[in-house]
Amino acid sequence: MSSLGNQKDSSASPANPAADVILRATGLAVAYGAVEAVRNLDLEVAAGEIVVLLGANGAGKSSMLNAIVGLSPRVGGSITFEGHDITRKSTEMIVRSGISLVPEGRRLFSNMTVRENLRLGGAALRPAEFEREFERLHDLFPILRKRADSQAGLLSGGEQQQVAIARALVGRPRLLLLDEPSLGLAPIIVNRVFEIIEELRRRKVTILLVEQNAERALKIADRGYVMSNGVVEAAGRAADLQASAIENAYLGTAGA
Amino acid sequence: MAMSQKWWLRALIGSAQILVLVSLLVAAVSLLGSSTDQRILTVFLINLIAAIGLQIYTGTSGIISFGHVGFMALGAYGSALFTADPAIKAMGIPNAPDFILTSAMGFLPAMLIGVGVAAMVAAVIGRVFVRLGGSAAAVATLGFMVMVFTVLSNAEEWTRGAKAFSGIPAYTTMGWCMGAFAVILVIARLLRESDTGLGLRSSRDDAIAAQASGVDVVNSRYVMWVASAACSAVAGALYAHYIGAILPKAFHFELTFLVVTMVIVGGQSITGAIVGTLLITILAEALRRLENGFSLGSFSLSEAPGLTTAVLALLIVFTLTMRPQGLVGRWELDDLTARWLAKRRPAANGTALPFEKDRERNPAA
Amino acid sequence: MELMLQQFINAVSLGSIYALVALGVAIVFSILRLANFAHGELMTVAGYTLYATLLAGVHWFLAALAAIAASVIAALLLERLAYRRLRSANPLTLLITSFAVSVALQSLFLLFFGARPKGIELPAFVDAGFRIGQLRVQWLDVFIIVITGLIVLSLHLFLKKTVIGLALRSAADDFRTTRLMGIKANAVVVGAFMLSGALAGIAALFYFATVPNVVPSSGFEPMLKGFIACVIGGLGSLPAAVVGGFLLAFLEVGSDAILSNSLSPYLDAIVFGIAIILLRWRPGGLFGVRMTEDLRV
Ligand SMILES: Nc1ncnc2c1ncn2[C@@H]1O[C@H](COP(=O)(O)OP(=O)(O)OP(=O)(O)O)[C@@H](O)[C@H]1O
Ligand SMILES: [Mg+2]
Repeated sequence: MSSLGNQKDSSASPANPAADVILRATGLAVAYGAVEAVRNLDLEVAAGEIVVLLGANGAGKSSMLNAIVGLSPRVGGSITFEGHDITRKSTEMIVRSGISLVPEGRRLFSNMTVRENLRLGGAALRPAEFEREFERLHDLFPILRKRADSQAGLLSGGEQQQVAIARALVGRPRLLLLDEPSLGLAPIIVNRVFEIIEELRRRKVTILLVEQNAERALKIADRGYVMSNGVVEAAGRAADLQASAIENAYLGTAGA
Repeated sequence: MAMSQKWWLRALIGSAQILVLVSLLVAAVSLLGSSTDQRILTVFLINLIAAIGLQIYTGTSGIISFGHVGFMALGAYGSALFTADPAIKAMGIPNAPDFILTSAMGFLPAMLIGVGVAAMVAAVIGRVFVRLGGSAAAVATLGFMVMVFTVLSNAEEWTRGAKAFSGIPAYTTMGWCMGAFAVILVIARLLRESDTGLGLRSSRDDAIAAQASGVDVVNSRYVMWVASAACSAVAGALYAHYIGAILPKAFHFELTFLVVTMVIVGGQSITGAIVGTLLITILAEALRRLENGFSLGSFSLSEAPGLTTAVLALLIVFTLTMRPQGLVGRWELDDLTARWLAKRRPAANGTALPFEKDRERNPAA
Repeated sequence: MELMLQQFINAVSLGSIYALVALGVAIVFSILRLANFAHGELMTVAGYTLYATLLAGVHWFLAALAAIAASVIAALLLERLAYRRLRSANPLTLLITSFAVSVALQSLFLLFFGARPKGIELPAFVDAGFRIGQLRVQWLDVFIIVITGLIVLSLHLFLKKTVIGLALRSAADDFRTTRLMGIKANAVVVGAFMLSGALAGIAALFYFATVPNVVPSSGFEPMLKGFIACVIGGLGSLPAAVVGGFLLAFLEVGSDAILSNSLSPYLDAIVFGIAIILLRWRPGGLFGVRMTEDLRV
């Protein structure tokens, strides 16, 4: 097993140890019955950072994101968010405490309108607050204005992805989890998605991103983790990970 | 050796094992039991046939039917009408057609008429019902049960309507029950082990994949549906000739609940239906005695009605929470014995057991 | 002509009751994939409450409120005591459980109230009516139709305009993702059962106003009709439930008008027969809704 970086070694891990870590997973384990999807995983995200989680299909990336919001079966370890232990909290409480997940495959409510989808994303907001947030998202997602009353299921894949990200943002989360936002999109649309992520970065949104498109993801990320078979194979600054890590672990050629 | 077993041989061996066990039970009760015990045993055997009848469909297709009590009713009335003494019929149903009024058949031909009617009705409605699954099937079959009930309660010229039709000859003996049980058990196992049954069972988990690999789900279900209706009708006929008087209300909600419960609590196999029936029969009997016990002092007949059913229903909910797959899951008795034998004889190791595929859900396998 | 109009009013009034029952059934089904056969018993609870309160001399309006409240409470108890633990159980288990719950409740009613019908002392206005030419219209029918119309309309607005309403709809589509919006799973389920209970209570008021006595199995028939309405409309969709309810009522009243007297006792059997033929033609119901069985909590 290669250990190009060690996430437990704090000098190699958080970009800026001084910055406050808002999400910290320690020894996290996820299992579906006998299938161990994530084993003894440590991960940190500091405020304002973009952290990317890479790995081949089935590495356990989605399981990891889902575990943070309490959707996948955690069998060990703990997670804290902004200093509070959220390990045993229900999904809805975790989301309300400020973490938002854009799930793999977007999962819009397809027979509801774009507006209704966003309203649910901001379920905790009062109507006036919601209108304000909705307006605020218009410049980043012009689609919201044009197609507000269209049925979400009828939008194109790229449009749906934008709506899904917007839906996760209405509630003003302090941490955004994105699960393969470019999955299944045409290259030109993928550009648009990465533009959005960069814009979010300028707006100081903290993001934990899962991406298949490793090269592009590492370009916009501050730090990265590379997962394989449920464990972290490598971790470190995005720039350092670029060359070696991708070859070794991400392409599945690692020791495992 | 187990691998090379022909499907029909496997069905016969499986049936034989069950038959031996049930015969032992019958022999023991006949020799040692009181007349009450024997009464309970007869009812148990009739329930067993009803449960196996339903299991032929539910156990292979994974679809529940709340309508099979309707087929039992058709079997019961069919057989009763053709066997009852013409003198009694002349008084009870004077306006019935002649071929019923004058008929005084033996048990077997009359039973076959009832079974034939049920099978015919099943064949007609089956084309629709086999296309429904899950809750839609449950609702539609429940609707069918009520349909039969409505017809029987109103066809006064034929059935005396909601009133009891009595004077049905008491043909149902332990021998008849055992005979019918043996025949239906073999039929059920043969259907289950046949290609049709096997294919259908594989469609329980993934209908689309099964269809892709060449299983004709709709037609396979149809075969099972008609066969299972016919077997239920046999139970109905035996019931009629055991009780001696029937009324539409007897084939309604409560009986439906009882039969369905036996099948679901037991599991998805024929063995499961038997275990379920045994359990429910014992429970129901125990509760009934308990209930009587409460009112023994005052010796009143109006003991708390409904208590048995209520407790039974709660127990079922409890059992299902604990074991959603039913008590025996999808196992048959012969699977268990084959496994046991294989364990006992290490020499036989390496021989694949029958139903390897059925074992995937069992953690022990 | 008058007769036709009369039959039409009868059908709309009956259809209103069926639609309310079907809606109550469909709301719970759409979210939990649970066919709640005990829905009929919620109606019976309302019936007994109505009987007891009216007998005690309570004003009819308060009695009606009490009946609806009783259904809602019963629905919430059912959810808490029977269905909550089984939310992730397989569909067959759920089905049998709800059947068992229905049977258990009927047995309990039998235990507490006996098998004899309890006559409900309806207020006099139930029989009052007015004439338009030859046509005699009962106020009760007008009342049933108008109230049902209002309920369907406000339910529609509720599901369109409020966050809880939207959450009920999204949960019916995809429960997991609904929780990702920070919406409490329990709140959605409890909300669905409350609505379902309230609809059962109101449907029961109308039902028992037309059939003024209650027995332990009173709820069975309207429950079955409501379910059949759902199935012929398309199980799981609310608009389909309403359409199915009216369709069933029109079938029933229409067949009754056409059939000779000797056949009219078989009405239910004939209507179910027609429903089966409809299903032959469209096994998924008229609206053929797509169901995602895997997306329960
Ligand atoms: N609901 C589930 N039940 C059982 N096993 C699951 C479930 N979800 C995921 N798994 C298994 O867990 C492992 C990790 O899956 P996961 O979806 O987390 O991988 P991933 O890294 O997101 O892959 P991908 O790049 O394909 O999205 C896989 O082996 C997968 O088969
Ligand atoms: Mg994934």
